[in-house]
Amino acid sequence: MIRAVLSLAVGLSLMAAAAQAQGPAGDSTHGQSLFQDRCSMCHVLGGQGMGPDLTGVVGRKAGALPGFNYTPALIASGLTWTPAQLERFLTDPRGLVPGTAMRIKLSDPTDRRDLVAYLRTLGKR
Amino acid sequence: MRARSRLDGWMSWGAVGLAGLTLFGAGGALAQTQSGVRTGQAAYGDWSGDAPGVTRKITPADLVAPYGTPSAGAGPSVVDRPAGAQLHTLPGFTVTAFAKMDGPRLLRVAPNGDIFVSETNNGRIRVLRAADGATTAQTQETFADGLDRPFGIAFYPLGPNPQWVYVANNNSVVRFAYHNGDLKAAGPAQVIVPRLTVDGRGHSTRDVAFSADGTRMFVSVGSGSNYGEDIEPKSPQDAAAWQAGHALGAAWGTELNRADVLEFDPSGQNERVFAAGLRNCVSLTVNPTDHTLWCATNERDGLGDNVPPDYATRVSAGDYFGWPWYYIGDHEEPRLKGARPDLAGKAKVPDVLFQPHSAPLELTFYTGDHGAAAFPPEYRGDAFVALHGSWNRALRTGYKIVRLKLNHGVPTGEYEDFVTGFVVDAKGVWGRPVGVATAHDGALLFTDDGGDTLWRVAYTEGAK
Repeated sequence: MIRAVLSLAVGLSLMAAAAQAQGPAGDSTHGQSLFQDRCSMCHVLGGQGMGPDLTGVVGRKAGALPGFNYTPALIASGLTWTPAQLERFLTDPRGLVPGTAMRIKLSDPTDRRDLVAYLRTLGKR
Repeated sequence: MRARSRLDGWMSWGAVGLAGLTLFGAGGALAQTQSGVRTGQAAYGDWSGDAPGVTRKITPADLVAPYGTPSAGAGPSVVDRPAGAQLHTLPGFTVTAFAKMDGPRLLRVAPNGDIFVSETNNGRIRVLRAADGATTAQTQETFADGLDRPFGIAFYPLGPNPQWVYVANNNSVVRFAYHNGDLKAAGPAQVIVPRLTVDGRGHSTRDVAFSADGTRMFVSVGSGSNYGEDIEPKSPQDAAAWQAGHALGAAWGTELNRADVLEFDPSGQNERVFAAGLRNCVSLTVNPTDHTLWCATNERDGLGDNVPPDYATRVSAGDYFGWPWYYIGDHEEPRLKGARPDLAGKAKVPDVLFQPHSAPLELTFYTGDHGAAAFPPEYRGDAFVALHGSWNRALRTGYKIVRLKLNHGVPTGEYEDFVTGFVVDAKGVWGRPVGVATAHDGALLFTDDGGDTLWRVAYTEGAK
């Protein structure tokens, strides 16, 4: 348990470092607004929806939320949702994971970064 | 008590499933038809009892109480088409893959036969062309792109020579100059309605249709929320004051002019609410026979597996269909109890009730009367609806094309499975129907944004 927490903490700090290296951390307030516009009809925070609950998604393995009926494609992707992977996914979900049910694309890199900044505030499930 | 009623529920599911299997074994569509119309609780069923020819009729008397089952989170896992998986349709018809696309959504056929499809998440409108009788599309081009979640498409003026293609985006209506045969918009988008909603959030599809006389443009705008949870409550006095100045049942705040069918001049001027209380009227269509306006509507989530039904209905000026405070007539939304006593008894009952959570998207009237693939005459005047399929239901409903039976333009309330077979098992589906329209040669086309395919159903029994 402690080891899991430790490795998680290390993982998160590595991810934070990676994000820093890429530039500014993003505007999570704008990200929240984007989330409400583009994500919230399918992704209900702390609840059920057409898509999985994204609470704590940053750092999670793709297709790993217990009880959610993921596509085989996402489960087999082997991805872990680092900020960088989330931004790649949001650029073109089916380009990164052919067969995923996720369809929403964000074409503006600033939007993607801001949305991921918001996802990072959502904590653990 | 609760456990008991749940057990009863499971037992009746088992019975329905078994009946479906028996009928399947007894020889498919003919036996289904002879079994008659499924009514009452037997009509609810699930995918395992679906088959071409299975007919259902659900009435308001069949509604069950909210919270009889937990609110399910049972979205489909979209899988590749399994080896050997086939779509099923009635004897005499053949269903084949017509074109591969990328997230195809609403589908409308131009007067010259060109097939317009919105690829909402790619921000573009595609146009396809095929010779009459061809089983695959020969041409597929991008008519327009760079749009914000386009969905609805309409040609204007009505008749054989439209000059414009109207497109309903998430939060605007635009149009493109058009001449028959154009595969690319001749000019840039012209903004007709610059803004439809306060914030563009929530239900994101919009549709657009014109009255048969060409004088009015209808635009459907779904709600921003599930059951009006974002609407600030008003006191009875304030609600009455609001009501006095607005369309019956009109909502306010971020739901202003939402869950409505709006009406404009074709130029986009003179916006007003045509009808209210339609949670998410995903597609709008004018019946070519009697010129009535129809909506296919998605009802609310979170009340349990079997309530409330989704629906298709005729919509007249001033109608109110209940959202958010009521559903299917006078059933009060339990999460908003007592909020709008003034609207009790005011909500209209929709014409055709679907199995709850089926997610009816596009509705079209079958118009084929000639051509290589035209259906038998008894199909003319009936409607087809694409059911995208459930997530908020433990056992799947939808994922099929159904035929609505009309009698001289009047819906009987019955609907019949026409194309089934997308559901693999309790978890997986390999397709999700969205758009449906009659092709120039009389075939029925439908889009599937799970399997990224445009499908064609032809009547082949009569082929010489």
